[in-house]
Amino acid sequence: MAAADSCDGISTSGGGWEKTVTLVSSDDARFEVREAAASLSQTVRRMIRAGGDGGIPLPKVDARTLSTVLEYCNKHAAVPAPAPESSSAEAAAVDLEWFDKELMHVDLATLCSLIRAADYLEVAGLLDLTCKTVADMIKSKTAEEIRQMFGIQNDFTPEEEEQLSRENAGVFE
Amino acid sequence: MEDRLSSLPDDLLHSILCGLPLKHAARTSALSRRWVPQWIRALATSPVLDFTDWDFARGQPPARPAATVDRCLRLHAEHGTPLHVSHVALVSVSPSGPGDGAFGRDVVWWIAAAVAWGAREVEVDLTTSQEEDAVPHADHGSAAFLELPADLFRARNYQMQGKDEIREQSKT
Repeated sequence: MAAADSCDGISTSGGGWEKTVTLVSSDDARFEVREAAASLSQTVRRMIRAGGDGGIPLPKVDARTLSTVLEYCNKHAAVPAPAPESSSAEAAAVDLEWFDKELMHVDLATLCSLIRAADYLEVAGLLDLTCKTVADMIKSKTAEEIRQMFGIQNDFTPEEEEQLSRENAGVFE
Repeated sequence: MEDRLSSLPDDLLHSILCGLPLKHAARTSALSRRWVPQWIRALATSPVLDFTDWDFARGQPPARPAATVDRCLRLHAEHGTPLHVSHVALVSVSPSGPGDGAFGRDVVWWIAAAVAWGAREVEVDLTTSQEEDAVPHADHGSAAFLELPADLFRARNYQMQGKDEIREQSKT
């Protein structure tokens, strides 16, 4: 399971010299994460400050979603801050962009779960990324194409539909 | 297939819609009942109102985008969202007389409303397809412009005359 994957690497490398925290998903999977990465979530950051034992419970995020969120956090927190405008800064930015793009190669249900999780956990960068991804999918498509893609039910009556298309003449061409 | 997108809470739909050009956002109102009011609410919750996307007004009767700006400003007031910037750019087509059809009254209201709700930057660009008579709008319009605190807004009237563009910046 992905949950185990994201813990292993960190607990060995983080042990002793890098502070870690344990996050607990809604389905009771435990993730040990570097504090620097976990703190990209403002929600978790607040809970770390508040203190407490036995891990930080995140009852609104399941293990599968949380592991993707943490993948994002680990990557983004790992990027050191090189001198701006240096070639390494540029390379790091390109690398991050590529990483983000790859991370968004998920099915729609996962994408929607990620949006909810990013919102609940207050990971601003991930919320922007996921919302932008959906926006890009919607862009330049007709209403019918969007409905099909996301499984949206057209619940207008024929009269309503006629009225809408009359009111919005020009917008939907 | 379960519709996971539509079941997102309103504020998340708004975050998605805010990343779309106005015209594409507006199109989502044709998806389903759930989506009808969302795009304009998304606009109304943003501190920046930007109606300068020419593509949005294109193909619509001129009164329609004007009504949209109106509705959006009203919603903004209802939400109580802070408004920082309001930009409007519309093509005003063939006014039949001074102050008529060129959104004269609308423009005054938009500026007054945006300033009243705290906008630091308010800009209205009107490109008229007719010559000469469109810029001065109506007399009551100029009077209302004068009543606004001058340091809070910037109103520009653009007049297209062939290839020349005459800009008038109204101050105090």
